[in-house]
Amino acid sequence: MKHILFALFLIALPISANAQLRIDMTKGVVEPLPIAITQFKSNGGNTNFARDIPGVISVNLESSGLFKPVNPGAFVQSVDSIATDGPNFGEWRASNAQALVTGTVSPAADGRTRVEFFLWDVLSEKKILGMAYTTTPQNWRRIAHIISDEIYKRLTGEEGYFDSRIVYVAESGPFNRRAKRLAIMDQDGANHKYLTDGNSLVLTPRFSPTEQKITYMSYESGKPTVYLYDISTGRHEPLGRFPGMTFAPRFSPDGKKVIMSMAQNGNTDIYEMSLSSRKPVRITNSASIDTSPSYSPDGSQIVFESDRGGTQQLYTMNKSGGNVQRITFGKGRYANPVWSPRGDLIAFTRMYQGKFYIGVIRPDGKGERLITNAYHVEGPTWSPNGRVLSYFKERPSGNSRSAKIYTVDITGYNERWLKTPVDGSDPAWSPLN
Amino acid sequence: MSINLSNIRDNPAATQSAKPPPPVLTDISMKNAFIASGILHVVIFIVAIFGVPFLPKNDPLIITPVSIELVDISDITQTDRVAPPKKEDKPKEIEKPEPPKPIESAPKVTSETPPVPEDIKKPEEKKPEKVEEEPPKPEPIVEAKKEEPKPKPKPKEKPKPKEKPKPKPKEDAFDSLLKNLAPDAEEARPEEKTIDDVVEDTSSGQIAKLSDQLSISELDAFKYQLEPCWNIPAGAKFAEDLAVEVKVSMARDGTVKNASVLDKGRYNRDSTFRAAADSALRALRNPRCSPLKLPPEKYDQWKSILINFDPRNML
Repeated sequence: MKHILFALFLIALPISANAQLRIDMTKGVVEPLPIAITQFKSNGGNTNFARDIPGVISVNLESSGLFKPVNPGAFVQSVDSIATDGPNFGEWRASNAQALVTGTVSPAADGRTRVEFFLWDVLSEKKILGMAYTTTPQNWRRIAHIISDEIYKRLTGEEGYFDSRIVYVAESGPFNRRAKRLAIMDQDGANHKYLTDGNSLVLTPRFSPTEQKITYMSYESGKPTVYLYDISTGRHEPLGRFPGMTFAPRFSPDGKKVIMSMAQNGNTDIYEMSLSSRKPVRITNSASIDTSPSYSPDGSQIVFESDRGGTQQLYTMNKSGGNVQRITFGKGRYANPVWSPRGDLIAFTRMYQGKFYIGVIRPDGKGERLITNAYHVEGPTWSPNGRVLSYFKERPSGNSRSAKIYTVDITGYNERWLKTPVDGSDPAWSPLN
Repeated sequence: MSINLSNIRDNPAATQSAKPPPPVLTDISMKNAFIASGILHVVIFIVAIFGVPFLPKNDPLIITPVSIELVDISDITQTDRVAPPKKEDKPKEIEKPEPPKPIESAPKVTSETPPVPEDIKKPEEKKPEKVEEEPPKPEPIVEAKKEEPKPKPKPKEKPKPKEKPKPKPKEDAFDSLLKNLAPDAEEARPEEKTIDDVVEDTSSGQIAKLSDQLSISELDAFKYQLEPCWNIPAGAKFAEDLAVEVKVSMARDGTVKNASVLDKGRYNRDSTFRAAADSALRALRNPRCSPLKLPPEKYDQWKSILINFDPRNML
């Protein structure tokens, strides 16, 4: 017996020596990642690209709130030195950079421009991304957005959203004679362009998820009617001729159908219409007002607002209209639900005690959070990656009102004003270009 | 010899000591003295050993033995660390993460002569030609490669603790770090630190000497130092499921020699997890948090650490 115990003791000794310490880190910080974005090395051609492309990348990444570009004044290594010797990681660490972006711009033989970029992990001293693009010189901004998306994706793990556009309602003129027309711009406000002339009131534009098309509501025909606008041709047409009003349109995830509200005989219900057959199919059939439908990303469910329970609340249902579930029970009224492209949240507008809020809630009705509020804030729309919300805020301004478009991270932080040439409302984010 | 006369008057014994010595003893008287002396010594020894029976005994102070059980604190903390699954958390499992989408970053063709990406699918393997043109750089040490092919150190499966009342579980794990302006939302909860929080992070079932193990305060200091360098993936989809286990080899000076993510399979297939894992690795290599302050005399205990970066409680 003694021998056995002694043997066990001897066996236990090395085990104790090799036991591994385990530590649970449960606290950290949420702060933007310091990233150094150098000028690109120019190998000829338009030398401005070597400065402007990294400039756009820097603005993009900073606007997300997840990155903090290092002040170029703290850069310690020249562009030429990086190109010939590679990054001196010790020096970049000293400037507090944790990631480094470098690149070159060269003229291609066919007159196009070739842009290469590299993403370096400064702390592990590794190159973690390297890509090249060739394009026509006028597409340089697009290249910058695409590179921004790649960097964003590599460092956050989620798709980017910089190579996307926003369509919105541009407003001008006095409050009682407000001109509203459709306008489109890059997500950073560049390349702004008006789509309609402002002769008729337009509202609630929505991007097709698959094509360069927009659906919106217009008073062009004298009564609210849903229209379809082709961005590439500039043509627009009503989605159909109906006895009642049609409004609050939104595309299905496959882009083949539009779901909208139709008011007939004093009752408003939700209809779905195939863009090929143009025949509406009734989805809801209740005596209440059912409106603002939005598909889940997989197309299997629809969220909408309804007053069927006595107050204006949000409901989900199957795409065919069955299994209706109420998901909001808070005080006040809920409206404008929009399902996130990544499926995990539904954004909405809530009105409570004389204030407007933009909030998010999980599709099962849990986890409601209100992330911004204002005198009047409305019309949430999701960035293509489901990480950022855009909406508009309206404030009294003398005898009129001013409407501005904002973006905010879904954490509720990093709210930013998206500058537009005139007042803006009803933003709608496009998918990635 | 001079005699102090005053002493003689005041102390007669002193005067006697000044008398001539007594007569010399005979042999018989010497023998008796030896015997008496011997008996006296024996008596003294007996008394010294056994005491005097008739004198009251001084009972010795009775000290009740206190049984002390040396318990490895890590065992206790191990037990507490495994909290029973919260009932409220279960519904969350309804939402299963979508499988990662195939990478499709190629820009779509538009009427505007789109750029042509040349290296989209494999950003890390394929490089633009320019890469080859660059002088070869000494490849940095890739920690994962240097890992010894040890069997994956699995955290010791802890015995199921008894169900115990928890502080009010969060209604939504996505709630606390994120902004919420809800007028009817409950007040922000103060940070509740339970004994579980304090002790849960100690080492797993080690049987090394207590004096060799890292104390709770040493572990807390370690975490406190690392916290500002760990950027958690707030806002990421299903961020509560992005716990990352990292095996870390430490140098004696407190710097990180090697750090590798244990779940390499998920690292390679799940871009969100990869980003979370990279963030954890950056925390370990961040100069702001290096070298890590750990007691050098206990190096054997922390030369290899398994760190679990778990953002769940921050969300």
